[in-house]
Amino acid sequence: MQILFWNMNNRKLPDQLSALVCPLEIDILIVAECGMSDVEILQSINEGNARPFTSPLNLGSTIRFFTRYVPESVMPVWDDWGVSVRKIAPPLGEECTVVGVHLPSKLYRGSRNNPDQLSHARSVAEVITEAEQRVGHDRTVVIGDFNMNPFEDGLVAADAFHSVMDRQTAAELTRTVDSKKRKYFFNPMWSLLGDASPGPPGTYYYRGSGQICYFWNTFDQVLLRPSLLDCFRSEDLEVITSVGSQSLRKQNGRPNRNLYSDHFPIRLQLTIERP
Amino acid sequence: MSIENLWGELPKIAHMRTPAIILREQAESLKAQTKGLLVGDVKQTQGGPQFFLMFYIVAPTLGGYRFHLLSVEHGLGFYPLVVFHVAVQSGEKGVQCDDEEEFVLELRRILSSDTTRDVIQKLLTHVLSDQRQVG
Repeated sequence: MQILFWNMNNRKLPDQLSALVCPLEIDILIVAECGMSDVEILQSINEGNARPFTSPLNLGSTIRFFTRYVPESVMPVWDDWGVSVRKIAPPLGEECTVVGVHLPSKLYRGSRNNPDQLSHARSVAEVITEAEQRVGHDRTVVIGDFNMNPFEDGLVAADAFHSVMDRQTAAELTRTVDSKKRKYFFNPMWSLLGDASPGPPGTYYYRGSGQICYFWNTFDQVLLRPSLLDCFRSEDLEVITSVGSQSLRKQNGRPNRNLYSDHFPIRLQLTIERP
Repeated sequence: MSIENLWGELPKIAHMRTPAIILREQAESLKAQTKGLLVGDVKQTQGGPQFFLMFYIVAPTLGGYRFHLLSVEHGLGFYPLVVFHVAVQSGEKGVQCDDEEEFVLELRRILSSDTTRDVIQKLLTHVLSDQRQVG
């Protein structure tokens, strides 16, 4: 199962979308801040496509799903403040839950590690936990624009996303904090931070004027529950910087926000479809 | 010996429709209007001195799918309260209501808005097409 997420900065980028999803054989496309209607998106990604996409039920205003699976394979579970939960039953293999997120921006909510972002992360984590109880399993992948880096409180706190940088810790399944058992997420994006990573140093660049500025941020992330760890190899996650022959970067390597988006897309492959 | 009343005259118990009651009435109204295809659900939580009410549209035949439509935040005295139209505001801004009249007005604006109608229409279409496939 191939999933692509892109925060499109409210741009209309039909050619780029089409050139992304077709060669990469994307099964589930999730977009945020997309300046195109569902119809416009479907027209662009379905042109000459033998396996056309459909839009299953997009009620959330910020996150939209498109899929190549038959429409009955994608069941809506929950739409909430910046979070959309969908139950996916691929043609082969076990079903899983895909959660698309687009959390509030720091531009509105203040600087790094601000309490509002942590509070929001906690409420989204509660939605995910309750959704997992409803669907009856925790084969959950969360993907989207968290507007926080992997090391910020909202991603790390046990009562929020509780995501860790290594598989081994995540494989311990839970940690008890203040007498409450909290499930882990594995956050593979830690491995894609900085210059030594195979792709760009982050997914979003912002030069702030404050004392502390990271410049490169990895706001676009993927979190996996331990039950999906054996479906994921580290090389199956990438930050995409070019579409066909077009680069999404400026000459200095940063996202070309003038032509495309201020975020790079991310692609995840999960080997779920096993006979 | 009769007991002396040291309380003085207590305030009369006002006939008050709390924000939660008003939301639950609208949840019932949605259920009645859609013949149970969609229902409203009001969830109440508390954080310190503040109370939070979350109003969801629920589709029972779609596995209990939940759509968070609006939230209300109020203190012990109910008013002023703040209403967040979750579906459109992404939580950035809320509307303050100083009394019940203003709250009902804001609620009417949200529940009858194009965004809400669009959500209800899409959900009903989905529910009915699902029923036709089963049938």
